[in-house]
Amino acid sequence: MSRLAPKKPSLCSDGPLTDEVCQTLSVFREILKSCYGPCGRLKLIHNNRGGRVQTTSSSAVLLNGVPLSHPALKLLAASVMNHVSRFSDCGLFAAILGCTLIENTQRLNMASSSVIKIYRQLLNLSIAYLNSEDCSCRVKVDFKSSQTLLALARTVIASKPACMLTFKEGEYISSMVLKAFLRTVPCTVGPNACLGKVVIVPIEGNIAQDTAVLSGLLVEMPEALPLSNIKRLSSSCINVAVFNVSMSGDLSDAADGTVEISCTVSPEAAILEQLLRVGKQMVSERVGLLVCQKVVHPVLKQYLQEQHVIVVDRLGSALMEPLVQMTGAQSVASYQSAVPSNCYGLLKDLCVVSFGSKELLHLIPGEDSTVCSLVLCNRNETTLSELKIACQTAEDVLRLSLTKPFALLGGGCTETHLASYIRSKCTNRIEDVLSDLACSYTEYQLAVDSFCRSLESLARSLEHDGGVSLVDLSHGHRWFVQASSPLDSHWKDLVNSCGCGLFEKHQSLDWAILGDKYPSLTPGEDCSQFEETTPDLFVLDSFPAKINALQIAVETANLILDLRYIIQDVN
Amino acid sequence: MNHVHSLDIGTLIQIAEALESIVCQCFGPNGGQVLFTKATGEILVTRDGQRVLNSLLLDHPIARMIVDCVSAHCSVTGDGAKSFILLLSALLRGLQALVDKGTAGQSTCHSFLGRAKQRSQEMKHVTDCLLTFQTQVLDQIIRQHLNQHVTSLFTGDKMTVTNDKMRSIMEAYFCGKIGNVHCKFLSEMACDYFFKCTCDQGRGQTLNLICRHFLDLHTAVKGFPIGSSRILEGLVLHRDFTVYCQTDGQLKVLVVTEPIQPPLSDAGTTLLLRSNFQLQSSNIWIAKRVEEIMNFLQQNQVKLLLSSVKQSDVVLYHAKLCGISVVQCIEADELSLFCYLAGIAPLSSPWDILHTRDTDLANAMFCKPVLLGAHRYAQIGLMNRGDFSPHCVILCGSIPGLTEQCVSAFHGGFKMLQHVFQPVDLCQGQEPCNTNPNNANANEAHQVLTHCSLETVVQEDSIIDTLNKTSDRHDIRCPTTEEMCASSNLVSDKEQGEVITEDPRANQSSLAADVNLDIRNTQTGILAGCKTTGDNLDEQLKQGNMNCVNKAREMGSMLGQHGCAFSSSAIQKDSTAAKNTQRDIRGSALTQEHVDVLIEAGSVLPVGGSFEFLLHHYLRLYAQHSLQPEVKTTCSLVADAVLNIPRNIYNTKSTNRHFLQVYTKVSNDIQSKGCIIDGPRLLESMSCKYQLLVSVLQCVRSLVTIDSLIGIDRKTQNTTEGETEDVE
Repeated sequence: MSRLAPKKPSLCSDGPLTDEVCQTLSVFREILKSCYGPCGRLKLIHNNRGGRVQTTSSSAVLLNGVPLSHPALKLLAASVMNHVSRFSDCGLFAAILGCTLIENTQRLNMASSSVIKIYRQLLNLSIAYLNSEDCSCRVKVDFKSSQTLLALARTVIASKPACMLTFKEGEYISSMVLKAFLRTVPCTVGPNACLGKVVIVPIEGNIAQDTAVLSGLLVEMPEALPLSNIKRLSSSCINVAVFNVSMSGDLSDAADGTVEISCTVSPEAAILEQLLRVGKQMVSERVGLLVCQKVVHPVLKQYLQEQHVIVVDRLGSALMEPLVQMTGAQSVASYQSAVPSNCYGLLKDLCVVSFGSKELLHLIPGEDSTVCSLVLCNRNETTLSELKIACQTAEDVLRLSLTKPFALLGGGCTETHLASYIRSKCTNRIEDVLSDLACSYTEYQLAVDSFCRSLESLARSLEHDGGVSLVDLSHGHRWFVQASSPLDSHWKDLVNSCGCGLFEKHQSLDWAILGDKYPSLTPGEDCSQFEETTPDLFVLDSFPAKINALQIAVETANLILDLRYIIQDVN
Repeated sequence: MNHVHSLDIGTLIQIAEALESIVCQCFGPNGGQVLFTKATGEILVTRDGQRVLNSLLLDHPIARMIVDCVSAHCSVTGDGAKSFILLLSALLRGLQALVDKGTAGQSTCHSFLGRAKQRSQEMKHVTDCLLTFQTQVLDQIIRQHLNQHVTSLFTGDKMTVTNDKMRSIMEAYFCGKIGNVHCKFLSEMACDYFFKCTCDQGRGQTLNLICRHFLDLHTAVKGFPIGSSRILEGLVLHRDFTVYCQTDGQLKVLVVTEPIQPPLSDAGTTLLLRSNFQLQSSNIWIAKRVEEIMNFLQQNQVKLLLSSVKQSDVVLYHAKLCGISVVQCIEADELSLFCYLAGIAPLSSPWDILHTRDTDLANAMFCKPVLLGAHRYAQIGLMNRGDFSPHCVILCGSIPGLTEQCVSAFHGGFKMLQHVFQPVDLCQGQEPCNTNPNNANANEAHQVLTHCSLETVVQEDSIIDTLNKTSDRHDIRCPTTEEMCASSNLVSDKEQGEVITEDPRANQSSLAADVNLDIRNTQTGILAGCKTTGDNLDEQLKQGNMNCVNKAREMGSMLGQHGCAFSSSAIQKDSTAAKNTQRDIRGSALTQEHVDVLIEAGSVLPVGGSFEFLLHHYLRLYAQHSLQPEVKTTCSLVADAVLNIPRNIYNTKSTNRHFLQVYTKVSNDIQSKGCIIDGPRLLESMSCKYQLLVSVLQCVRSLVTIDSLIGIDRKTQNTTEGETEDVE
């Protein structure tokens, strides 16, 4: 019996950002901060009733796995998750920036509505600068060489310490991801050109160096496949027929009506007869491989195998699209009539490959195919799943670089540079801005300072081992000094190169500690001269992902600062 | 019946103030937002007053009643929930002060009960005055004085709106509905959308269309900043192509609502299988049939197939072979909008498809997949339909709760515009009091105030007699007229309707004759053409209340093309016009003028409390000149209450925009120059403001007339304890 309970009134709480909430927020920020960057610490997510244990440092897993108590935090997490689902990268960046902005603003003791307006103006300023021609913290992606693309891939792979890769392995995986990505780019340019697909095949247990890129698709070995079949075929091109309809011999639906079957009739036999008729056609038209998305009737299967046709069934819908794309076949949905001959596709070859204990059938397409498989190997399940996420992210980042051919300097250099740019822009000649925003000079400066400090603290949080982050006073890049360095030495004896690797130390540079007050600087406009000498270990971030993350972070922080009430429906 | 609580004004004020304290935080240009979470994990961000009030799920019956009143008001105007609460609580406070003053003076009653009784009597008296206040005072002030300050949204005779004015009215609306930093961007987008959608004329119809179908005309995308929102050409169907074949240029579209593949056996029939061969051949026949249909479509240059149901694999396979794109499982509403815009009817059975004529096919400019966030949708370019040029809004936000806020703000904005584009008729909803001893006084006061600008007052007496005669005759015939209206389908009728609606605006002295003539004309017209019937119209008419008439009018103008519906709207107009004139005639002593439009369509005022300041000023003036103590008190009561709104707008501590400063400046302006000088640039609708005040007055009256709450026991649960209200 169902009980009808009256709806309880909602909980309505005033002024959501109390001290208590701020404390929760700072705990949350510390958790995220410690995961950030290539030296980030890992988090182990488990529940106390057993079940799966996840080791991770990526925002997608972390925010999904950890339930949050306060609605404002939920709001922040939801925003970041939605960003990650679109851009895959820069989730932690957005989450930490959002938290820091809120916390810094709480300390300001200013009316939130004016702070919000100022933040919005600063955001617009930043976005306009990053998109402008004279922005010196972005580089153009050079499609002539693999340098910048490789740097993009490497930065993503390296920022996921939970993959447990050595430096060399990381390099190798990045190059493999790049190779796979390049294979998906079609050779011919036309109006119908579209990117191919990378199918990731995870293999557990092997070392990461076994990772390989194969053109074409890998499918499960059909059971009881006589090897002679394959050998016989490997001479010339193979005709492929692709079915997306079930060939199991079921009777098709009778819609609303009823079907009455007299006892002499066997529908299965009738349909099997039709199936076999199609099978005969396949054999007579020299089809070498039959792929079915669903189940194939065992009798038909056996018949075809006797006739040296390889049958792969239960392919699943995920692989159908790349298969059709790769072979040029047309997936057939009807076996009632003869299959038109233009529906067949072509494969260059077939072979059996083995990775560890797993044997897979490798469908090798012609030369200009844009479908490839990335066989990912790693030692155990957790590291493998993290590596899979990392590789997918890297591939997405590479794809995004096609839509906007730019990359932002990584290693905290973009953040510090942007902060110094904003500071320099917002000290002089701002009367118009002030009258637009209807706030005083002091208020404006306070808000600008809080915004810039949030960006700088993001750059600082890349450092986890007690080292010191510095900023140079001519380019506004981030440099870093080991914790164990002697106190009395000069900065220039300790630093090597900046975070992104664009600048080496030289005599004319001067440094200050990041986060302290440093003399205002106008970041150098002369990025062009360095473009020729691309450093080997360049650290680059995805341009579209970071810009979106910046916008999402500031917008969400603004939203949370603007909250007056939280109404919780407790029913 | 176990709990009986007496209800006095103190409780009412407590409740209203609790609501006020919540609402005023989100009110005005510096108001904040409210985060609303559900136990299911849904998050919603909102600034919309109605949404906030509804999500509170209040316990107290009075609070629920207030929220219901607010909802009813908002459903008409799309705006004003927060102002409603502010006005309501201010009015209640004023009432309490008034009643306290009134009873304190009389020391005859000592016992508590007697005091309470006296209070309730006093209250009843004041509310009765409030009831007549609208018709007696408010309408006159609006027409005589506030209309002078109004600017019109339209330029020229037609209902054309300039971009600037549109922008300022939209921005003012968005300021109250979404976060501060985005309102400029979104309001500009809303204007762009409006101008892109409308062709040269017929803005009203386009607005109605947008309001009705906004659900299908927008797409919410999560994961992007709000700044990525944009407008797309054509219609976005919220499904992906199941089969996509690239096409260039114009194409033909077929819409189906049934599976194309014939079933093995139809509904209600039984297929008797006697042999294997029979099964095989019937299967083959089905496949052949599908192939035949698809080939037929290919020959007819159909390039796109839209289906509300899932089509079988065989159909999709043949569609691919024939180069026909397929979008399936489209929602019924979306598909019907598409059909309406394309001007076609969907086909159902395979037989129909094989006998398709060219008129059953829609023409589209283009069709292509469009990637919006995680989903790929089908975008179809359509020709203009009447005055509507199809466009879609893409609204982005970081979370679904935020996009929902934008969507509802957009939708509400167009509802508000729709309201602005309609004139406000006189005396709607409320019957004027016929037996009012204050008539003469009211007139007198008014004459003093207007410096006898109306010479017609003198003439009036002479006219009244004639008018009464006409009204009598009209009274007798009225029900029959209505019935005939309902069952008639007249084109000529519409013209006469126009005559009627226009005539009252003409010279007063000739009015009596004209009205007389017109009524007769209408009736003869109706008698001539009452052959055809329209049953559903009958019901609509019988309801006779104003909301309903409004709605019917919307509908009528929506379906402008369909003659039947159009004449129904004409009839509606007729009957309301007739009613209005009738009312005017009856209440002629009260209202002096026979204009049936109180506020012209498109009347706007600057934002920032201009309406309230002006109304306050004129009410005060009116109260000074009025000889009736009741009118005096009610006028000053309302005059003080309306100031609560600007008081909440200018509540920031920042230096130069404090309420008292603004108030002083504005009242100086009004007194010295007769208008508000350099008010804010943004505009808001006068009719919305007026409607708001009227709704609040009605709400106050219905609240105050309640004297006790009776809780009843049903089933097991106790109804909630009435007295303590816990909204905080």
